[in-house]
Amino acid sequence: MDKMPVYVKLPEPASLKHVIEEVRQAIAKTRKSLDTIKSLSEEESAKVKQWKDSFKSVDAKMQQIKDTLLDPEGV
Amino acid sequence: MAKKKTKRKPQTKAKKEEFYVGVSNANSVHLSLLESKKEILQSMKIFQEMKQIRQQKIEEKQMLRKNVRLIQVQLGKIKRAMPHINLPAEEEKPAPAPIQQPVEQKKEEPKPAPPPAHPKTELDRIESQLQEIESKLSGLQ
Repeated sequence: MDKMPVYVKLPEPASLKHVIEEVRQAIAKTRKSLDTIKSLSEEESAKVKQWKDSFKSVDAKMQQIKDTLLDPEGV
Repeated sequence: MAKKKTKRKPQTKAKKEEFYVGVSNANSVHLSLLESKKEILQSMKIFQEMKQIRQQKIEEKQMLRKNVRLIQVQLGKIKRAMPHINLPAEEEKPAPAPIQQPVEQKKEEPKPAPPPAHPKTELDRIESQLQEIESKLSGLQ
C-alpha cells in the first residue's frame, strides 16, 4: 500500500503553473533584494569607519592649533 | 527759576583684557585650519552619502517586504488549489538502536518552543505556522 503512487487531481493546472512561476520570480527578486541590502550594509559600515577616521584627524589638528595658540609664546 | 541740573552718571567702560599670542609659524597654523576645514567638509559629504545609502536600504527593505507578502499570498493560492488528501498512517518502524540514538535524536531534534496561545506579532504568527509545517513534515518522514 505504501509503495503505490498517489494520484492527485489538479484543478486548473494552467493557472497553478502561472502562480508557481510568479512565486519563483518573487523568490528571485527577494534574493536579489537581500544581496543588495547586504552590499549596502557593508558600504554603510565602511562609510561610518571613514567618517570616524576623518573626525580623528580633525581632532588631532584642532589639538595642534590649540597648543599653538594657547601656549604663552608671547604676551 | 533755577534749572534743574541732571546729573549723568559717568559711563565706566569695562576694560577688556587684551591678550596677544606670539605665533611663530603662522603659515602652519593657517594650513592646519584650512586642512581641518577641508576634512570637516569631507566628513559632512561622507555623512550625506551615508544618508543616501540608508535611504536606499530602506527602499530595498520595503521592496523585500512587498515581495515576501506576494510570496505568502501566492503560496496561499497554491495551498487552496491543492486538494486535501489524508495519507494512510505509516507502519511502525523497527525500534531504534538503544542508548546512542536517543542522545542523537535529542541533538538532532531539539524541542521547539511551544507556540504562543495568542500570537500577537507577525513574527509569532509566522513561527506558529513554521512549527505546524515542521510537525507535518516530521509526520511524513
